[in-house]
Amino acid sequence: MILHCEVVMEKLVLALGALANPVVILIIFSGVSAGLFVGAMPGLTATMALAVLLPFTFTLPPLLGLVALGAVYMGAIYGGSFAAILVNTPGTPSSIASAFEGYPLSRQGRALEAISVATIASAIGGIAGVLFLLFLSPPLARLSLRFGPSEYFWVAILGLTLIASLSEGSLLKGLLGGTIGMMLGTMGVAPIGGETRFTFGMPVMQGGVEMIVALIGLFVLPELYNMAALGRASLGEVTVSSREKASFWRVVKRVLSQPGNLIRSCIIGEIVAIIPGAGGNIANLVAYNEAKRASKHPERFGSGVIEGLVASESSNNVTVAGSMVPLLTLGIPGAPPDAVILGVLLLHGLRPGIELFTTSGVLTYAFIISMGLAALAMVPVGLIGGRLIYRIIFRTPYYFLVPTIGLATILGTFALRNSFSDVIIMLILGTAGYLLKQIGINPPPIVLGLILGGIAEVGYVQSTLGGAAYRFPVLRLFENPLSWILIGMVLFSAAWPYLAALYRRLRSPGVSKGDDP
Amino acid sequence: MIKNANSDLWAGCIGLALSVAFWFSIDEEIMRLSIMFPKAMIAIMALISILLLVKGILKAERQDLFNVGSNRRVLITALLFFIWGVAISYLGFFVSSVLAILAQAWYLALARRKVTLPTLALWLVVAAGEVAFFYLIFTRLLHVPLPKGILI
Repeated sequence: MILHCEVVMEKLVLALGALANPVVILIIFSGVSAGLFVGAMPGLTATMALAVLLPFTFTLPPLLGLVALGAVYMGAIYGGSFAAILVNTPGTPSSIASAFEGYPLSRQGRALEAISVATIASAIGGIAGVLFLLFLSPPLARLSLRFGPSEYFWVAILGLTLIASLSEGSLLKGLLGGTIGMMLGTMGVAPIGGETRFTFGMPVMQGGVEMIVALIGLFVLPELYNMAALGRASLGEVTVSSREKASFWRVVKRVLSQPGNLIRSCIIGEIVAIIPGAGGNIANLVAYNEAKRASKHPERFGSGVIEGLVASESSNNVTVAGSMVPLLTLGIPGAPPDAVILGVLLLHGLRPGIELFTTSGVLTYAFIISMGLAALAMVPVGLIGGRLIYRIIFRTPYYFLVPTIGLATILGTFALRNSFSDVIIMLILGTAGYLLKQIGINPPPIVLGLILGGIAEVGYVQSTLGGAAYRFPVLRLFENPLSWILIGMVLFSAAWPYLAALYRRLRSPGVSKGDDP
Repeated sequence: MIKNANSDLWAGCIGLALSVAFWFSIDEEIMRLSIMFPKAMIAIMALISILLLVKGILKAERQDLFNVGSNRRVLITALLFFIWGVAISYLGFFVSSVLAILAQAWYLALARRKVTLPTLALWLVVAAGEVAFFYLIFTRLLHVPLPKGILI
């Protein structure tokens, strides 16, 4: 054991030596900046950024290529928060929950403070993910292997209990939004049977509703329509807070003063990250929900609470390195961008598994550490870039801001699959989202249903197929101990609002009488 | 603006209409594997919609709908977005986007200021520069083939 530690330490030292090179540092800063730009554009995803970068890495030595990919990945996940904070539009699905608190902060004139908080939390999350990857890879990889179809189904159901948190006002309307999202997700080719469903006679619907298309439409268009209705930009007439409030060290203190929230969010991010297919899309929502649940003032969430933003941003950046656990140890990409990195590893003759940490140990550890450096690089890059983007948005007149964001939205949607049908679907969903919002059915539960519906369906159908030998195949969902743990978490999560309300009522009888949980 | 609307009833009706639309679009010959999950979801959606309808009748949540700002501006902005989306295939990305940005900027600016012809000419240059910037990034850097249509 001691010998093993010594070998690892030796490789870590050699890896640090390999990274002590100005070219590496330059690549890290350039990669983070490019990733930030891509992430901030609605529709442009981390996967797309890595795919674009891929041909350039072929000409680079393996280490530099991997460093560039890791830095772009880290920057893209973080960059998604910019659009979420400034225009209420998550740049990537990993930043959905950042919009819940970040945008209200912007409307209070605290946009720079929100960006600084997101930056610090993202950097901490990124570093935490690297530490998890460095020191806990083997046990985490073993845990990820225990997730079968039934566990995936329960993970999706656990995610759906978040609707209770995401529904502003009526829980029933939130649930209706969730089922609408799930039904949108079922359109097109069935993931197991392979047949097309719910195309309503339109061949273009065979490709289904791409999750990011729905995300862009449901979040961006209602905001643009809102600006048009008001006749001004949502941020255009707020008073900018004093410099003191956005002071860097003040924000660092503020973020570090919530260690419980940070640790919880990082652990959630890591656990979600090692489950292949889940990733930051789900981690940020789960972490946000838990931060709200743990808060002494959950009723304030949604009005610009720093804790919520910290939870979302730290958890989603943990998933960057976190999702590499199944990739580097088992060769299973934890998230779509990891598949691109897997391709680069294989291209250079590096096969995931124990060999990666022994024979190619220096390269692997250097790649892992470089992601930590990329997380640190996000601080200067993000603070400078954030201020720049903020100024541009703040100074652009609303009548130019609406069509400019519209242009980025249309381009981002088109670029996903080079499809103009997607643009039309996005516009229809966005307009429908605006109308539904008027009657209290908000976009977040719809998007959550869309994200989780696919996972739930695959888990459910595969489980029942696996249970064909049983009299009741559905019992396969309840067979494994891990499933029971997840079922317990589902029940607890679903009952929590009622338990919390009961607890409050018992503690202060008469005060909270009549509360609707 | 719709004053004092029963939003539960509206939500319930929309949910029920969607459930019916999805249910009747199920192909009878589709395999059980492909439809078992969506069927369960439709049933749940219908159930939630009925609960909303019952709530709407017994304990309605009333609110003013479309009560923020000008609904006409929303309608025209939405219309311009749809025209933009369709026009890209015919006029090409560059021309349609420049025209769409100019049209939207002009229409939305009317809510706040007077727009003179020289201002409009200046905006045309700004819009063309903006679209050219995105055009170059997408076609040259990201290698996304943007449609050319009958123009560029």
